[in-house]
Amino acid sequence: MIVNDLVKHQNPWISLDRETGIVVSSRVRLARNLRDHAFPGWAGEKERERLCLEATEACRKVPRLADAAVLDMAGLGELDRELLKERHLISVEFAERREGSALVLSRDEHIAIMVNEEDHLRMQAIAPGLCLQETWREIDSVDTEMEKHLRYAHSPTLGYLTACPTNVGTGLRASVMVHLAGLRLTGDFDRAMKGLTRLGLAVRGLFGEGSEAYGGMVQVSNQSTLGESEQAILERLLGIVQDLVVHERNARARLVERNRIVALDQVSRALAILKHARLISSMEAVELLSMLRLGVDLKLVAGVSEAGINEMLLMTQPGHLQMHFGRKLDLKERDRMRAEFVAERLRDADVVERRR
Amino acid sequence: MQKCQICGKKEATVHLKQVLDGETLEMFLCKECAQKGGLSIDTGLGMAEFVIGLASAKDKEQKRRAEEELSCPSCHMRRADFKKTSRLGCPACYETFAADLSPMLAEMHRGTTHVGKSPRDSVGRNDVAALRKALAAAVAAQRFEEAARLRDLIRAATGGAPSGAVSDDRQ
Repeated sequence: MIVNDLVKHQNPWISLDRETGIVVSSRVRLARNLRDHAFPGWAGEKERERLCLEATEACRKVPRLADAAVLDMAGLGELDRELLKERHLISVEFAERREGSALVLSRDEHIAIMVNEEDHLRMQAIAPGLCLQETWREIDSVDTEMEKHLRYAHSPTLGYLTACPTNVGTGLRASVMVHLAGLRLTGDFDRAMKGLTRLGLAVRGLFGEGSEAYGGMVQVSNQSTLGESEQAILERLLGIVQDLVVHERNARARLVERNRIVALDQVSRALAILKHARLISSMEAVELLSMLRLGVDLKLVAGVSEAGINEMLLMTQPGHLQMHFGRKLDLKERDRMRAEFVAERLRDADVVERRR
Repeated sequence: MQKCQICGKKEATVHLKQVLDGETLEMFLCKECAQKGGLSIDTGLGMAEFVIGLASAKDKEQKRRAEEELSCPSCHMRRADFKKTSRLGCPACYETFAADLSPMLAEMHRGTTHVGKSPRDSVGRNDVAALRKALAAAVAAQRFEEAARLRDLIRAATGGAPSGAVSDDRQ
């Protein structure tokens, strides 16, 4: 498994060593295409392969990517594809790519460039916590370096030209993953999501486009990419996310003040199932771990940290689970091993208020 | 007396002459065609305005028919292909399918003109000289949507100041 080495460095999108609180991670993605080439969805295989070669060679010249791995999607195994998806380094669409596509991945996992996904280049920087500006600066400088070696398709009126008109202009999609378990419990979640949509933001679940908001984990991103500068887009998103965080904190405070028993009950149930169930599906694991994560923040649970829960959120996903146990597992086996995994990790965890 | 270059019937009584960065463009029109194009003669963008205006006065049925057979000269994507997947074939498609894209972009985004980063070797939004050159090329090639966007960029960059010389020989 090629990806094993990268995964060993343990520097994924979700923090494994420190608390980040309500904001789990930040990501900035830029879409770019080369002049005088058909977009990947329309180009023939030979043209895609030629472009892939040109693009990956350009990447090698960028100082930030000097030690980057270049993964040819044609030769990548199933498990590697799953791992990359779960680490938010490739999209669901890109995981299906074979000949003519490649992934350029920096050693620290912060920068990932998909070559020939929907656009010739989908460059992203991703990091734990709320760090939109830093993440933007990282990918912006990679883009500026790439520009020295490639000729981008760009128009003075429409900006960077992309395969889908939804990305034209800045080609920028900035997103933040937030943990809104409090709003879920107080019943304000749906209204908050409607509010975000009205503000022109896109809201997606943990697993990207079309996924449900399991465990109250949502990715909030800008929809518009044209007519506003990159800074304007980032600042507006940041402002809204900050308001959302306050909203969530208030919901958690209200829970503790007026409905502590409800919070205690939900967290206790989550912990009980995680410790004692024999079969847990990946979706259920996200729901339960998310509740537990809230419990840690509300100081209702001891014996496990937020970072520990983050690690479980990553490791209970199908690809990571199989990698951990060193072998391919069918669905039933996965549900069983998942239950074993979390029970073991939560051996010392308990609700702080024991019944007398 | 010269005949109008647009309708070919009436006598040309309006002489449009525009000098843009040393390049001279001339058109001879009859009063009706000049009015149909919404000719405005005091902003230095008269000829561009006229051509853009003429485009919007075009016969709608004729336009629709032409659009059905429309395909990108660069990558050969047809309008039907684009409608099916909502994805374009190549960068040149933005010009080919400009008429379809304009309302889509207005709907999807907070603006219809790019603001923000540009590659170093590209035409910047404030590079008025280069923008005017691009506008002249767009007008000559009858790329009306692009011409309209470039006109807006030039206006924004210059604050609408006049710069071309246009004479009106209307009798």
